[in-house]
Formats: sequence, structure tokens, C-alpha cells
Amino acid sequence: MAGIGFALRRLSRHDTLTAGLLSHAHAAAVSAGPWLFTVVAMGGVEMFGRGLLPREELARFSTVIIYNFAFSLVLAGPIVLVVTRHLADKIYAKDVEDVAGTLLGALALLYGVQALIAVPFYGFVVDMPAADRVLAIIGFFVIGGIWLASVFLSALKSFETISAAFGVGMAAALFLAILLTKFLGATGTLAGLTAGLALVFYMLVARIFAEYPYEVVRPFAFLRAFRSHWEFAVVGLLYNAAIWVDKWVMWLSPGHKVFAGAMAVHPVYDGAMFLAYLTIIPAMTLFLVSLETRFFENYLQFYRDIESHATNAEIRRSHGEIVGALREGFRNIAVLQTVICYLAILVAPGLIGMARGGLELVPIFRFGVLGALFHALLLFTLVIISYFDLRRVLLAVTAVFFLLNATLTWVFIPLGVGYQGYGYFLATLLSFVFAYAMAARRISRLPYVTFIANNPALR
Amino acid sequence: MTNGKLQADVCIIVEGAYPYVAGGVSSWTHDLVKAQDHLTFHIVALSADTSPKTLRYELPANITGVTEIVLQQSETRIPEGRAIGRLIADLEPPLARLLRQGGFTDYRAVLAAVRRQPTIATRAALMNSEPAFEMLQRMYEQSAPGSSFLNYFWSWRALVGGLFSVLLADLPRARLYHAVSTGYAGMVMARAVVETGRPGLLTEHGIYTNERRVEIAMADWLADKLPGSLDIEGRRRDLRDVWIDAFTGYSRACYEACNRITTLYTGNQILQIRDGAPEDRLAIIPNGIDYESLSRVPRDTSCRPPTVALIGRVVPIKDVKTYIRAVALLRDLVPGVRVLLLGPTDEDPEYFRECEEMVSHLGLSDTFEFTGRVILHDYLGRVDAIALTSISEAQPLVLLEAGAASVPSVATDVGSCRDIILGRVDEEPPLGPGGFVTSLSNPLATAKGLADLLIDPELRKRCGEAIRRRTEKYYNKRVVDQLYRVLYEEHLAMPDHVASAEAVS
Repeated sequence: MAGIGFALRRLSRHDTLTAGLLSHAHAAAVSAGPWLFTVVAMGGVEMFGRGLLPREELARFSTVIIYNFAFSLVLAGPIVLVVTRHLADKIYAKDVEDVAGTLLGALALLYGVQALIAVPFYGFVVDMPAADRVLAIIGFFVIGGIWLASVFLSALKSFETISAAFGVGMAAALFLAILLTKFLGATGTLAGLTAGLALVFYMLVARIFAEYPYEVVRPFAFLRAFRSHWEFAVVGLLYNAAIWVDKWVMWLSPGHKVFAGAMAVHPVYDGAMFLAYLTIIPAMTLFLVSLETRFFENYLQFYRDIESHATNAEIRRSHGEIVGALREGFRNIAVLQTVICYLAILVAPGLIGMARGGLELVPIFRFGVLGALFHALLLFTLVIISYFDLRRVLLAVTAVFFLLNATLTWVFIPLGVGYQGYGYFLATLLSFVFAYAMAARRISRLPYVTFIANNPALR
Repeated sequence: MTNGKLQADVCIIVEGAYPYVAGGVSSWTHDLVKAQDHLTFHIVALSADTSPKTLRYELPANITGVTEIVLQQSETRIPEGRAIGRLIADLEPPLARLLRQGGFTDYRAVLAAVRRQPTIATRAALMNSEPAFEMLQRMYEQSAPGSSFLNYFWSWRALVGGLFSVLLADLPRARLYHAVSTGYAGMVMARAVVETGRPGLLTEHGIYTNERRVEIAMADWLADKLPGSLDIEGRRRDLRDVWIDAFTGYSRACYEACNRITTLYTGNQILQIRDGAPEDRLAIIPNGIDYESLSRVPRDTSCRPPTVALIGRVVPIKDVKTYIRAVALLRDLVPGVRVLLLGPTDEDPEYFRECEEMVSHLGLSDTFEFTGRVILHDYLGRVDAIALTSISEAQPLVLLEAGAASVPSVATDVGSCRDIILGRVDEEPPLGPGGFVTSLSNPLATAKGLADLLIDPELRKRCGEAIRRRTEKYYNKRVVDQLYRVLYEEHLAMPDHVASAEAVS
């Protein structure tokens, strides 16, 4: 038969709309989780540290912890996001035999990078006792390992294991820290905390190997994912750096202190910020819960409708439901967080006093709380953006957040102590507005974005 | 791909065929170009995708260029801007009409809308812009609102994407545009008629809309799986209708655009008229055969059993089983008859095995012979009548090849069999029957026709002579070549018609 049968043939090929859905979902837990843990850990040190150690000893200890959390998160960021994607693809394809290998390969890569920085730094640049040097390096590796291992368990949706590991490990950390501090001072606190974190890491890794009892094969196969998912590597780096960049700028500004010969911190700014971050824990929890429940159902429904040959009217209806779920979740979190924020600002001096901080922390804390409000909303928006796989948008928003947080913090330094924290607040506010506008523009046109603008099948 | 810089005499437009795909239409095109060696040709080959293609024919020297138009091209750019909204608003009404069994007027308006904004109307704007997606949704709501949106989306992109490829492609210059099917090839021709003011010709071998109908009917994924009880108002429109309506619109636009519509036989013309072809433009030009060499095949007049043959492949569409049943009846009517099946048996082994079983089951093993692939010249002189039991044919050349050797036929009423055996209505003077035409799957009628021809030598001779003369007069390749020569001359000599106002802009 002459003529064409091709127009029809082309159509029978399968669409790939839902292939990536689960991997986008994992990204949510992966981006929100580590920050939550950082917030709790930093806030915990800030809250309890003063009861445990004298001022100078505490600074020595907490500086190491801050450095370890900050730089391990930034270094692990790109690897974590890329491995998340790689794993999600593998799990979707039911091809999980190289999961154990991937864990080891990714750890080797991360530790290689970490060692390049940590060993010279803690070994030679800083000035601290030998035991502290060793503990600092071990702690750096352990925390980095935790960021990475959590990815594997979030991909497995083993949130119970993650919670249990963190609960048990951090309880052990607190107990050991108190115990060892009595004998060894700050070195003991560091040892206790490191041991607790090592326990967390051990439990996570044990669970992964229990889940995937395969031989270690193709440990570096995930490196190819850096090519296909390079945007996520950049996002992982930029976002985690953006969280910390205001602190880094302050560490180089008036009011900073240098410990161990080379470790600059800004105790007032850092302390106020870490305490302020604690206020977003309720909102973050509510956010994760509402994502997991109503939004995620609507989200899956939308794509499943399309794939199961729904009519356009049905597709529009499920689009409407996604938008509705997002609006409602957003409103709930905004209301809750605003109330918490308002109360925290009102009772700031009391809160700071409870944490045995100086009154000079109060104005920074107030800006910090406001900033944390918008930071939470920004994170919420970022996660939604990653759900819809809008990579370029994600990239743009994290880059904007990083640049704004760095420059605005720097710009307000000359205005004096009263404006410390104002840069962070403005940066989160503006970044949030930008992210919201970008996301709303696309999600309000989700059918078009799904079928054409962001449809990999057209490529 | 080569582009002729010079203006060719004739631009031949083929879809999924010459020179990259071998087949009936491709061979026809190749022979046509070779036969008209006083003219230069430019080939526009429409292909499905961008995959690299190899030439299946050695191009004759009078082909000055080949232009490939790829119908389904990937397009990833996401254009924006207000101008696209205006373009789509301009384009949508005629495009929607064209896709719903519209015609040339709608196609001209589509073309004009695209030409009015040449810089805006890129493939990306027409396929990937948000206004285009909104247009797609509106068309869906108007034409198939209850069907799978996902399937409609891909259907629309295939149907309309191919159309946009045709609208946006570079058009070679020529003095005459000859499409070898409707569909997208017809759309290229219609566009050329509008934009160059030169005449257009259409030759349809099979009827495009019918072939698409068959494909679409077989495409299960296009069927909407709806519970029957919801289907109260009888058959609702579904995606199959969307496809068929679009192809019907394309065909109608092509019929209305061209100056002459030729096909192989009368039966096709009924379908063309149904799809909107103007009757006064219709003409029949059959495919020709090498009459001179076949007419010289000597008759074997030695003493031998009466012999009939079916010439063709052993496949279901030839309905060989009806032929075998007819032979069982024929053996009782003409004792000692010898029966041949001349043609390859390896194409459908399962069907061949069933046929062989049938032959032995009916006790025909001594009568019936599958010869396999043979050289026809070696057998024709020893065959007294030809049988054809196909359930579908276009223009079966075997009847003509046998006819050239004065062998009459008994054939089913498919394709151009009636034209060949009984003569066209406009045959002047009437040459008389060249055998018998039977209904489909009717072994008794086939057996009776064959028996009449075998038993009555006078009848056989009369029929053989009638079909020989008909073949000589109407189906001789030289005659057919001359018909195309005249057709081309007539249209090449036409003055440019005034191109429409839209096309000039």
C-alpha cells in the first residue's frame, strides 16, 4: 500500500509522563530533611551548650560543629541530589542491584572531596589539640555520610527508620556528651556528639544493606547521572550554600571571632539565627505531612488521569484540585508560621534569656524569625517546583537566593549592628516572591507545561 | 537530497514512496519518468521522519532534483509573544474547518494566515506555543470532547504537524505539479497551485482516504473504551472520526485544487466523487503493460488437457481457497482439466499449508499444481483461461498480461476487473466480453465461467480476441505513455492563472 502509515505508528509509542513522578517526590524529603536536622542540631547546641560548658570551651566545640555541618552539607549537596535522581530512576525501573554499590561509590566520591579539604584544614591550618583534630575530621565524614545515607532511605520511603535512627543516635549523643564532658571538657562533648552521629550513620547504612543485600556492583555507575541531571548538582550546591552564605559573610565582618587560629565565626549572629531557625520546625512538619497526603494524591491523580486517557474536562478538574490543595496547604502553613513568628518576635527577649544568650541577640533573632518565615515558604515553593520537574526554574530560584543572601547581608553590614539579619530577611522575602511568581505562572498552566513546555517526549 | 536550481517541467510529489521506498507506486513513478524522457522532473518525496534514507532506484537523467519533506519533525523550542496569539486566532477558524471535512477554500485561508506573518509562523509557534495548545484544546472540545485527551493530543500533533511541515517546506519551482496521492502529497500540490499559479494534476492509484480508513480501523489504541450503555445516541464521534475527517478534508482540498484527477479504473471514481472530487475533472488512465512482447507468446495447440491458472501469490487476499473449491466443481464439469497456481507460496506459510490440505482433502492432488514462482511467458501459451478470486485488487496486471496473449479470464468484481473484462462504459466501439465477472467468494460462478470457456472453443476464442484487442487499445504501455504525454503537454502549455490575493502577499 502506498502512502503513509507512519503518522499512526509514531503515536503508538508510549508516553513517559509518570516515569519521573516518584523521583520528584523524593526530592522533597531530601531537600527539607537535612536542613531540619541542621536546625535542630544547631539550635540544640545553642540551647543546651551553655549549660554544659564554660563560654570559651563551648565556642571551641560549637565552632567545629558549625563548620562540619555547614561545609559537609554544601559539599554533599550536589552528590545528594544527583544520587537521589539516579536512585529514583533505578527504583522506578526495578533495577536495584547496584544500590549497595552506588552507596559505596557515592561515599567514596564524597569522602574524597571532603578529605581534600578537611585533612589539610583540621590537620595543619587550625590550632587545636590532636584529639580534637581527629574528632573534627571524623565528625566531618560522619555528617557527610549521614546526608548521603538519608537519601537512600528517603528513596525507600523508610521515614520511620530515619526518624528512629536520628532519635536513638541523638539521644545517645546527648547522653555521651554530658558524660564525657565531665572528664574531658570540650573534647569530651565533641567525642560524645561524634559518637552519637556515628551511631545514626551506622544505623542508616545497616538498614540500606539489609534492604539491598546485593553484591557491590558498578559503584560508580551513578556518575553518568551527573551528565543527565547536572542541573540538580548545581542546585544542590547553590541551595545549601545559600542557606549558609549569610553566616559566611558575617564571619568575615565586624563582630566575628576567630577560634583555633583559623576558624572564624560570628557567635552573636550565628547564635541568634540558629535559635530563630527553631521556630520553623512546626511549619516544616506540617508542610511535609500535607505534601505526603492531600497534595501528593492530587498530584499523582493528575498524571494518572492523563495516562489513563481522561478527557480534557477531567484533566482540568484534577488540575484544579492540585491548585486547590496547594493553595490550602500554603495558607495553612503561612497562617501557622505567621502566628509562631509573631509570638516569637513578641517574646524574643524571654526566649533568648531562656537560651542564656545575651540581649544583643534579640534584634538579630527578630529578623531571623521573619527570615525563617519566608525561608520556610521559599523551601515549600522550591519543593513544589521540583515536584513538577521544572529544573531551570529551580536553578534560577536557588541562584537568586544565593546571590541575594550573600549581597544583601554584605550590603547591610555598614549600617551597623541594628541591621544584622536584615539582609537575610530581605533575601528570603525577595527569593520567595520570585520563586512563587515563577511557580505560580507554571502551575496555573500545568496542562500546557505538562503536554508541551516540559514534555520530554517532545524532545 | 539534491535541489535542482533550474525550474523543472514537472514536479512529482509522492508520499512514503519513490525514490526511498520500493513498491507499486514507486515503480510506476520510475517508469513514468523514464517514459517521458523529453521532460525534466523534480521529485518531492514526503517521508515520515528524519531517519537517513537510501535511494532504492537509480534516478533517470531527466530527474533534476529530489526534495525531501519530513512530515513529523521534532520541535522543542517554546516560543512566546503576543504576535503568536494573533497568528493562531487568524489560523484557527479555517484550520478547524479543514480538519472537519473542509476543502480548498479552508486550505487557502490556512495558507494565507501562515503567509501573512512569515516571521512569526514558525513550526515552534504553530506547534508549541501556548495559543496553539489552547487552539488544540478548543478543537478537541468541538470534535471529540469525550475521547482520550492524550490520544487526541498526539493525533493532533501528527495530523496538523504534517500539514505544517507541508506549509513551511521549501517548494521547488516547476511548470506543473503532479501529486501521486491526496493526503500530504495532495496538500503540497494544492499549495503549489495557489502559490505559483501553475496547474496541478492528481493521480490516485488506491484511494487515500480508504487506505487510511483501513489503517485507522485497525489502530486499536484509537478506539475509546466506553461502556456501551453510555453510548445512547448511537455512535458518538471518536478519534477515528477525527482522523478520517482530517484526511477527507485534505483530499477534498486536493481534488478542488487540481485541474485533472486520474485514476486506474471506474470503481475508484465513485469513491473520489464521494470525497468531493468534481466530476468534470475525473479521468481514467490505467497502468500499461508490455503488450508487444506478450502478444507474441505462441499458443500451444498440441494435444494437451484443458488448462486454467490463477496467477498470484498464495495469500488470503487472493482467496486461493475459493479458487480450490471452484476447481473441485470444475473437475466434475470438465473431466481431465489441469489446474495451476502460478506464483510464490512462501509469503504466508500457514495459509499455504491450509491450501495444500484443502487440495488433498478434496482429492484434487492429481489435478491441482502449485508451481511456485515462474516466468509467465513460459506458461501463458499453455493456459486456456485465467481465474482471479481476489477479495481486493486495484488493477490486476495478470488479467492484462494474459489478455495480451489472448487468454480470457474469470475474475471477481474487484478493482478494475470489470473494466478489463467487460470494457468501460465509454468504450467505443464495444469490444465485447473478455470472459466473466463473478461476485466475491463464489466458487460455483467461478467454476461455471471457467467451464464455459473450456468447453466452448468458439466462446473462448471470441473472449480471448476481445480481451486482446482491449488490452492492445487501452492497456498497452505505449498507449498509456502517450496519454500521459498528452496530459502533460496540455497542462504545461496552460498560462499561469492569476494567483489569489492572499498568496501574493
